[in-house]
Amino acid sequence: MSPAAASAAGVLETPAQPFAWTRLLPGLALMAGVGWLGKLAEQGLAAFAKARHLRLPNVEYVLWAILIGLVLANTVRLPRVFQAGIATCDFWLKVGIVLLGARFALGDVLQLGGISLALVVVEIAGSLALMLWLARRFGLEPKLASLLAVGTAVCGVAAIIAAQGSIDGEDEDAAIAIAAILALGAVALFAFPAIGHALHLSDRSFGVWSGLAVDNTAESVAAGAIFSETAGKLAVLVKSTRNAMIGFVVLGFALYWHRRGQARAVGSKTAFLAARFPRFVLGFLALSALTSLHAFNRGQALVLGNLSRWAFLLTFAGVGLRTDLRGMFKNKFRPLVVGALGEVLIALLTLGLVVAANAVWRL
Amino acid sequence: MSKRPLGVPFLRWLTQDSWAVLGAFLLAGLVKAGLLKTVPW
Repeated sequence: MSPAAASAAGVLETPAQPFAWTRLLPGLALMAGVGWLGKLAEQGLAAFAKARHLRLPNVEYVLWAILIGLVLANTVRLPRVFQAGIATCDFWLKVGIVLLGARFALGDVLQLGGISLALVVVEIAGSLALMLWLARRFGLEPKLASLLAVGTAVCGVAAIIAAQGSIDGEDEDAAIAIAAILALGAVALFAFPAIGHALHLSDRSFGVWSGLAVDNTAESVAAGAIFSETAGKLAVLVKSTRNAMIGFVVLGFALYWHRRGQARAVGSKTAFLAARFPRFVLGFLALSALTSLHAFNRGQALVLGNLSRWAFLLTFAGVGLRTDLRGMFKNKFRPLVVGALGEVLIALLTLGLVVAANAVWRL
Repeated sequence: MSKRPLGVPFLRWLTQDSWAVLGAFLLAGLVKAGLLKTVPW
């Protein structure tokens, strides 16, 4: 990963220092504290409403954890000592997704995964076409357009970083595309659940929509979980299907730019795809298969499910803590406009897909 | 010809660059072995 892209993604802050686990502890403790406060806030509000016989909406711990993290990160200038720990946010997301496999029967995964795959293929084709067309209309650089298209069609930051290396993209373009994706992901985090409730979408429909339309995996899962726990699980499944396509999409762009003489040759396509296949998706499938083969009893599956929830709690706290509201819209204006317009159109396209899929397969 | 079981290179590939998968499988192993019996939520 290039330093500029990594820095924009918030995953690399102190280069050329020996790695020490202790560097992670302050940030990890902060994420755990924020997540715990989120849980307390949910329980506290519910208890307050019950004691006062009030009918207050149930605000999930997910939303509390993100909001508390957002407020902390954007009001108090967090010391650098916390950054390394907060950057483990994506690690906890992947741990949570793999462990969540224990709460899915493999048959359900394959059935829902099949439906997801059909929807994801349409979503990716539609999103790529739309984003490339919009980028051309707004006169964006072709490689920046490719990175934005990959980021919105597949899976946000990871896809942009993978694509940048494969098409010899500029660091600055990757940083711009990542900043735009993160900014739009933060907006989607709050907009999607509100729209879902306004449209009275079912938990499953919303989970599929969130998995299809929200770009970055952490934001996609969080948006689902803000809506409901079931929606969060469905969002994980659909988003993982989308993530599994990363290699194919990046390979397509790598071949295109190589033919134009502006990127290296690909070499073995199988090795290219294997190197870019997200391992955590296979880990999720492996744990689901093991649970379906009764490798874990009900109690053990429950424990694994709860471990997954704790991992997600750290992730959601980290999502809030890493979101820089002030820096978000300092990005170059045109890529952000293209990204925002594209996101709105993709949200509409995927909403239509979900409604159609619901009519055909009864999600 | 290597006599290594096929699973070994696959497992190495699965966990390569992915501490998250390794960590999750380690936790699953602890649960399976009965060393982690309850996790409250």
